[in-house]
Amino acid sequence: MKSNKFSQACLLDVSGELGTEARGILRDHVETYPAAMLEYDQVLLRFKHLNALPPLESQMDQVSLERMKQQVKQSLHEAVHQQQKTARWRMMRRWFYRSMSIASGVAAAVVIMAGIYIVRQHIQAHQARVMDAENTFQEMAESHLPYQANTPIRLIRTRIEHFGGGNVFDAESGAGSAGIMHLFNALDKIAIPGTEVGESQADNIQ
Amino acid sequence: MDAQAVTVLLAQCQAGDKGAWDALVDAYWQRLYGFAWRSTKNRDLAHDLVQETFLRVVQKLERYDHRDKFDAWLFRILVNLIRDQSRSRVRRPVRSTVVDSSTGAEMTDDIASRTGQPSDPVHHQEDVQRLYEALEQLPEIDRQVLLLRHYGEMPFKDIAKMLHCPLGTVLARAHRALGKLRITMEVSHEVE
Repeated sequence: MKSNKFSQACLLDVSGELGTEARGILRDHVETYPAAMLEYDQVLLRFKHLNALPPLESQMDQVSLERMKQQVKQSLHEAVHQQQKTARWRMMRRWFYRSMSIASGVAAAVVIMAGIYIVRQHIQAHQARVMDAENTFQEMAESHLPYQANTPIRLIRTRIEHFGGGNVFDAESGAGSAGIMHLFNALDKIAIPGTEVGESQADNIQ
Repeated sequence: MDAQAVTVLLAQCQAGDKGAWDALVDAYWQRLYGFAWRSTKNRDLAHDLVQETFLRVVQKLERYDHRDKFDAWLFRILVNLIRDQSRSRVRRPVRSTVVDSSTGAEMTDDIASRTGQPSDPVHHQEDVQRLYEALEQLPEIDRQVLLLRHYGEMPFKDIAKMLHCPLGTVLARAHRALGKLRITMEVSHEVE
């Protein structure tokens, strides 16, 4: 065993910090070697000097010790109280900020939803107005046009009315006969407002 | 106080139980004060430093790692405070006065510690004073180890943890310091 390690082991032993097993080994070593015994005694003697330092109680009266201890306790209570107050205040502030952020989040969501609703309403209203305008325009256009659906037949009917003054032409019954071809040729020669003279309508029917 | 009891006590302290704080002061105050007093040689200053140590515990208890030994943690706070204080004291020396209750006379703390209590039956006052003087002559770190062991009632193992150095180093310091202490005591006896 190295000398310094041995001294340290002795110091641990005299200070009561050595484990049972290690203590047994050390005791065996000390009892075996006289030099080790001498070293052990030296360490023990040195340690006794430390233990000769008087304890606190023997140097100060108990009343003073107790008074100082009470002062420490008092200041500790104040510090604990202050810390609890600070912790409560911090928690309240945290709750306040948390609830404020939740409230502002909800408010923002409401504003966004309302915005979306208003924009959608606006778009729908706009679309309705456009559709209304289209319908109105279409109705107006249709009401001002001279002919609507089946324009060629109507045109023929109008031309017949202009031509014969009372003979109604039945297109379905007579559209394919030779006689009607003559009629068309004759009709083409009649001028109608909005059409050129000689412009054949018979081509459309054919 | 065993580790489990300390853990329970600290949990109660964290919950804000003032009774638990009182129990903590009862358990550690005397050891802390004894160490602080012998380190600073000033009762008032030692009292202030111990008080400050407990206040730091109130502030830092949430950060205390329960794997560390509480004693070591507590004494580390005190040792740091003493170190900070001694640094500032170098710049601005402080000397407190103590009123002698028997005579009413004021005396410096140094003298007060020399006078001691007359009712002390165990120790010879001159020997004790010589021992204190021998302690004063030790390097600070060696003195700290001995005071932590004696007044702090800390095992060398915990002192090593507290000072962040190997156990062998602490034991070597203690061994060397005790050797010097013994030599000083023997020399002063021979002089007489």
